[in-house]
Amino acid sequence: METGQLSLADIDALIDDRPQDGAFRVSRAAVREEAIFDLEMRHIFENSWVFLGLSCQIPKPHDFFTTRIGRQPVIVSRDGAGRIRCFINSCRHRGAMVCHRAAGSAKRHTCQYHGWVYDSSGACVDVKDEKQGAYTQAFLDEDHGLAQVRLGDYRGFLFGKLNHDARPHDAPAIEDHLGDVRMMLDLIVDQSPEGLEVVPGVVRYTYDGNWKLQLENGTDPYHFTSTHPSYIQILGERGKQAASSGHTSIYQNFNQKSISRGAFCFPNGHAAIWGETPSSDARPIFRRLAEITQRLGEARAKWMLYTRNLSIFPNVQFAENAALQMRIWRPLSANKTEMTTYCLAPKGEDRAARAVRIRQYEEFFNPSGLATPDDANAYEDCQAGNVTDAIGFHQGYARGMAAVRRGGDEHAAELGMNPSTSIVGAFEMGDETVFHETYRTWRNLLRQGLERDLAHGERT
Amino acid sequence: MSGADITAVAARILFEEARTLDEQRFDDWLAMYAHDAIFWVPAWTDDGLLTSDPETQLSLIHCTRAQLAERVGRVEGGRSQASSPLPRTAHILSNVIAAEIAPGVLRVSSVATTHAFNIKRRATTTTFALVEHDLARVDERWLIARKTFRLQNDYIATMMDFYTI
Repeated sequence: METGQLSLADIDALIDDRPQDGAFRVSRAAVREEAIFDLEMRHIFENSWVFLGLSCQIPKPHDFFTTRIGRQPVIVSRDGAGRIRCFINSCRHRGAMVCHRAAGSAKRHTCQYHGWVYDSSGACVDVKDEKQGAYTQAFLDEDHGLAQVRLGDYRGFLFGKLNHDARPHDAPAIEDHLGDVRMMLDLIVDQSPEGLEVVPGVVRYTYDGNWKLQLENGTDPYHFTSTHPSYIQILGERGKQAASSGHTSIYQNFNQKSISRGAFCFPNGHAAIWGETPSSDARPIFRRLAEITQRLGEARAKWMLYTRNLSIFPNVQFAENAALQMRIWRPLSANKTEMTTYCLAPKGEDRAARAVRIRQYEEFFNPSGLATPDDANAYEDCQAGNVTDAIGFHQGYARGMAAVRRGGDEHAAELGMNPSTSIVGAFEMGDETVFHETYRTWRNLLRQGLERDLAHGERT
Repeated sequence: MSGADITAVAARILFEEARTLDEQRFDDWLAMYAHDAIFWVPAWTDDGLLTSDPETQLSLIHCTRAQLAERVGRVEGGRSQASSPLPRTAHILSNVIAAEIAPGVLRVSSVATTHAFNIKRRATTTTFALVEHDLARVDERWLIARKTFRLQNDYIATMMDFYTI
């Protein structure tokens, strides 16, 4: 497989999806081939809704953060009137990035090359030496502002969509794109009546593996006991030592026999897993449960105490188990991925609960913690073992297939959700049907993209 | 002691600590830490500041001595695939300056470059940090009471642990 030589048949062959035979297999080429990576960038990351960040990261006028949509640098900025905008971080004059900081506050962004100046709404407010520039009217008639990107804001979760073609409104509204996975986002943002905040500090790391390895790991209950035994062991020892003084980690008392796990697939590639929390008194929100129950009802309060891992296709996960993590990835190539990770928390949390949250977060989620390094190592092992087409398909998408059902189950009904599929079972079931709709979405987007390429004659 | 003598004493302790890590004598390394020691690698914020309050802000690592002992157990226990086989390291220290900030307490600044060779991947990573130790005189020995890193290249290649920085 080389760029420019992919056929629609190649794309179709990426998934062996035969429900009538009980078969669902994903090609090992999916994480390996640069030709597929190229299609993913152009037709998924750069042509559909991509997560940018949170509105609470830019609370005041002129606050901004920078990120990427696929390969394209963008700025997410609150303008002088407080409206959030997203624009391409590339000067209209010659293309240089105009902002090099990860976040900050600025009324002006000045290109350091030829000195064009943009305000916090992205408008060009100065073309250096314009009067002396002997410009023609054709130039003066152009809009010199930074190119605006379509922005979607669901309750402070910000998404952007690049448009290569001239159909800026062909994407669904962000609410339609998210669908019922919104109810899972509500469980994050509603933990405090004051909303959500980011704990100061960002952790960035890379791993030598495909972005879909992270996408899968975030909703993969099957790996936990075999990838993280050293973490489980440490917390088990702590649990014995501190049995009388309360739990400081939700995984103390971890006993897989007593825990059930469920999963949902949603349209457009989103997915979630949920489970009962081994020691829910170690959850930082536990002591505020009465207030939460009164405000939102028992069902949602119960769900807030569940462990919940949520993938919003294609580039972000919210993992709430030991603490609440927002992890955003940027694929760098078929075999390298950059992770940008934040600890989130309900606003107004008391100091003791916040400290418990932060310590649990660091131990579990950091690449310098006790669990994530073992995940990242596993991704690298997968990438290293999967380098040729000697083997066609993985065997890792079959667990749960005999138990999954179409539509919602009674657990989904508690939140008023109508997912594409639902499953619930013992912890050891280690469901893998949670990946199926994601891969169907992924394959369909690649196929539609390649069809457009072929129709435009860009590829042969 | 004169300033030069203090610095010489402190440097010897820092070099010894580095050697225990590079020779993977982690029990000896732990024994250099006071029972109430804190090992702290603060994170950076998106606007370029180092976090300063581990109770309200994020750290890469914030460990008590007991938690360091857990980490030693984890990497030696063979049940962490990220630590097995253990990367080989070389800790290179320089620019050591020490001052006695209280009777029996030295504050030591140094610069550390650490190379770690991942045997599985045949790949080398390098971290560099400005480091501050507080050394406390306990029973005729200098023990590490606090070690704080200002990690200058906080863009982590796959993983980081107490022995790779």
